[in-house]
Amino acid sequence: MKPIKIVACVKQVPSEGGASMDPEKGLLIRAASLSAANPLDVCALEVAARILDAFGGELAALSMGPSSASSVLTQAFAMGAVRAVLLCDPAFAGSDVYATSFTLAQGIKKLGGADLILCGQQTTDGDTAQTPFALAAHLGIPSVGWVKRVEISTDSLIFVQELSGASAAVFAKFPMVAAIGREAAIPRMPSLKAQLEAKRKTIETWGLEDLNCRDKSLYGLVASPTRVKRVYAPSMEKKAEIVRDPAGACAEIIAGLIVKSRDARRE
Amino acid sequence: MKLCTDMNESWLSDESRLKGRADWVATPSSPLEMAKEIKEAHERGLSVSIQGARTGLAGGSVPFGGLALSTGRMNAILGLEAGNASFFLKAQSGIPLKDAKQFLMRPCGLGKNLQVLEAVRENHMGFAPNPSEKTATLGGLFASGARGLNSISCGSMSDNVSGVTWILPDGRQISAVRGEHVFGADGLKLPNGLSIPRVNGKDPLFSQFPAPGMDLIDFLAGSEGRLGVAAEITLRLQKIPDITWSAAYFFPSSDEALAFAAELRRWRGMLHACEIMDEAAVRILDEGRLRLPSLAALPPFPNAAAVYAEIAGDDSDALEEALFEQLELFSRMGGREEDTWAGSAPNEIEKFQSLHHSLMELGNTLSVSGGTGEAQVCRISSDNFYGSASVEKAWKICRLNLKESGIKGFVHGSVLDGRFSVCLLPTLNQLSGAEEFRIILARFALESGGAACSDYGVGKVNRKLAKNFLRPEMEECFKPFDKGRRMSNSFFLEAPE
Amino acid sequence: MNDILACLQKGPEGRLHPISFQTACQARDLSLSSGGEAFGVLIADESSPSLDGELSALGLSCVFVYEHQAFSIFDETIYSEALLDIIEFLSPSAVLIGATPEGRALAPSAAVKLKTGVTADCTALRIDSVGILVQTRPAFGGNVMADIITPYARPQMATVRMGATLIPSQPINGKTRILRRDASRLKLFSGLAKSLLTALEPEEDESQKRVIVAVGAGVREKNDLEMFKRLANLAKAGFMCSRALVERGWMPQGKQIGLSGKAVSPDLLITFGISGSVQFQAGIKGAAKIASVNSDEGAPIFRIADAPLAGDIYEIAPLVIAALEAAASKRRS
Repeated sequence: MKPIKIVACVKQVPSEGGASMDPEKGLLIRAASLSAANPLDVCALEVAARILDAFGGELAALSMGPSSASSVLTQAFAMGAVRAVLLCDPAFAGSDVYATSFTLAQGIKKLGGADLILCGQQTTDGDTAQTPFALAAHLGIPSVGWVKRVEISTDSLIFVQELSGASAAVFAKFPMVAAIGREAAIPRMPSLKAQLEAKRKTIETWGLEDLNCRDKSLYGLVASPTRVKRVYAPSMEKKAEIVRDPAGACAEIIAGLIVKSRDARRE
Repeated sequence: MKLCTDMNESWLSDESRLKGRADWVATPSSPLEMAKEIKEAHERGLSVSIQGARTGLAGGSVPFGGLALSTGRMNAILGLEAGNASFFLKAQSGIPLKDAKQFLMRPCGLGKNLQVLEAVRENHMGFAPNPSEKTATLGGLFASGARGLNSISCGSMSDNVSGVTWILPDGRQISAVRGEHVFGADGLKLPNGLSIPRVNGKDPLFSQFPAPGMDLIDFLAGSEGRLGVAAEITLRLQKIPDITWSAAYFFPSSDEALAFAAELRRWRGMLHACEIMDEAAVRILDEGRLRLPSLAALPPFPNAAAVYAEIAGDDSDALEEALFEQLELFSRMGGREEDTWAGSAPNEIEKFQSLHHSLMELGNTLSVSGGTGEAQVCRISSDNFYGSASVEKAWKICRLNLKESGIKGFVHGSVLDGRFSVCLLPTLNQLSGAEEFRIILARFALESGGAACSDYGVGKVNRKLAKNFLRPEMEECFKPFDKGRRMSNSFFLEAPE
Repeated sequence: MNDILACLQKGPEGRLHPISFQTACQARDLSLSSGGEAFGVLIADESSPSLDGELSALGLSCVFVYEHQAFSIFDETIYSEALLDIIEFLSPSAVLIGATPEGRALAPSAAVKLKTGVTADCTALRIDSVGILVQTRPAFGGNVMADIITPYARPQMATVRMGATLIPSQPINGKTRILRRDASRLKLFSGLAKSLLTALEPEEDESQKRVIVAVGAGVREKNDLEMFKRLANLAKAGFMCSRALVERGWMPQGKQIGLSGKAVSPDLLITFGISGSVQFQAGIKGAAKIASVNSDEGAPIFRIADAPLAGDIYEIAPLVIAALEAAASKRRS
């Protein structure tokens, strides 16, 4: 196989917890939490590194977010990326999946396209695993999602994906997008040298004006087909009295429920 | 207090897996209630065992009859204040450390304290010590004299405590603020009449002999229930470094790891922590990747023995230069670039810092479930402070003794302050050998000017060992506190076999 | 138009995937509010009389079927060609797609091509007073609920999870027309070559069982799962888990209950060592009765459990096993 040009999309996510509602004021409170690279995106970086070890080529990392998101791109450098771009511009704010994937697609086009685009299947900050598929659709290329295994041999690259009730082996044919799941790879721990060198590398920051398509109406909130109409605290459910009986009594309760349920269905 | 029933069965053990029994249980929700329960127990002649999160490995919270008193309901944050060039967080002693730390991270209905919280965040202040068991309560950490990986740079738990509301074994309450009660040439006299004599010499167990200049708070810290219990604790916040770097260096042998660790120690640089793990420890961690969630995200360990170095500060250039120096040192000693792991993002640091705790958890698991299939008994550990003068010698002696004893185990510990932990996994017929082993090491520690039972404390599990080294003079110090009646956490009370 | 289109899916053994019943049911409910009709579309390699029979029992006005060999292994690029074709034909107001791996790939893929949006993993769907589909789901890490709308783009699209609604146990009789659409004129080629690996053993979908036993972070070691699995077997229950165990690599993603896992609606759900985050709770809204064991009395799951049992799962589970074994031997004798 020839050397492969890979672009990996990496997202910055909060490292724990999210926002909550102030019940009195009805306002959204964002937690002051530390941020990290989305774990599945780091798995995608690992997959990229393994593919490049086998076939040669180069890896560019792409992220869309505020300026603080540059720290995840440093991690991408430490994992072997030779180029890292942060898409950062107020015009991108408020993007839903459609607008986010459109923006990422523009970034990839500006990078000169890629043979293989890798992303984590979903993020830990509650996203819905749509971005990789939406990204592929914007680029007009096929996608393979739910990748649970990557098989690399001397002359072929196969993504094994998990579907309902079966797995499918997909022979890589470029260009394409592959979305990486948890089981696909345990990411390497970068060496100290790699980390130090990563700190010295330059992250390119691109705004709207740096992209080929500069039509503001195609980015951010205005370009997002979905809108959040309102946010509210989840309702508190009715409270049953907590049972603190000894283990034996608790077990009786559970066994009783099981037997009753079975009898009700006449099994 | 109520009669102890089956429902409280989980109260009768902690992470030491020792099983005890209790006649009475109590769950006070305030210092007043706590004092009341303890007073009643004192009057009725009941021994008292205090329970925090029951995460101790030495059986400190396991009751042997008498009253088991849980601080579970005393978990409120009492206030956050700006003060003397710092900030102070006051909380009830039953609050888990992670909850106290998390309080400083996120807002929640504080009202006026919200401004102070903002100031704390802006100045990047926090509770500096980093014990690996984050679910332990403040009271538990204080009572066992806990330290974190980074105690060399920020002090132990108690160094960062500026005040306690203390309940004495007879139920009286005293309030201790750092600086207000300091031992003098004749000891210390408290306003309520309590008088503690001065003692000469060095305390072999807790470095706690009340010498002139010692603050009452430091005397109370680590006393494991012997002198009473904290109901409320005030923590002094410190500036947390903006940047932390973790680096792990791997070696083909434990000796090479030690040589490097010793060099690092001499270099010192900006080290906050420097831990060493022998080959057996690393092997257990490597296998542990399949068992423990905290290790599941790690790739295979690149080599046999490891040295973990942590540096922190606010100047990123200075830190990076320090790391280059470390790398230079490493390669001069024959280390290979691919035998290093490093990171500075919070989630990366988390992975490194959890290694210490995971190792202890695995040691525990292996002893209970008999990892290799051989009949294992219980986990016996030798945790001593060997004094910073003879760190290398201490390490070699630990490893040598382990090898000669023929008992399965591993060694790890802090190179900066010479605290090494030997985790023994003896079979039944090796049990007495293991006990002897611990005494030999403890003696050596004492001869080197260190102390025994430094990490997990005495608790119940290490009583037999501790008795070898107790000084009768300590009894004189303790008498004023309990008037002769002893809480069960006292290390004079016999634990049933 | 006010019509709602349900995207159906073929499941194992030539029958409809269980999620299709959910999807059709939701579409029907919404069409009552929207004042339009509820349609279905099935994209599959081949149909069969029994499959047609199932399609007619969904209570939809009409089900459109695209049959072609190209659909034999799922590929979102190829499937979306068919979906786009029927959407162009019907111009539905909203399209619902079952949240299987296939559906979750198909929805965003088709949505971008239609220049519209998808709200995935909705916990609730309703048509509001002005005819807009209100899509509700947890947001911002889960402690907040959000109502999302697609104000202008059409169709409005949403993915629907298993167990999101209770389905009627009786099939619905009514006149459902089944119309076959011509797939051969579509562009059924993506460039990817796929082959099915030995299909995973057609394991019974645990999430469909009427009783489910779920374990979570409270399980200390992987080997301990054996005991809880035994309990599940004795109870003839499905054995599933919370996200924590999937992240540890101890159980496969297919067994996960929760927002990013499966939604279940058993008659009885028994949880051991699960704290019950909002994400987990999102997966059990359909559970009729919940019994939870956890040593932490502050665990959120206790707020919604019918039988919140504070205790040590390692003490209680063996006793449940013993009780079930005793009951079993009593039944035998």
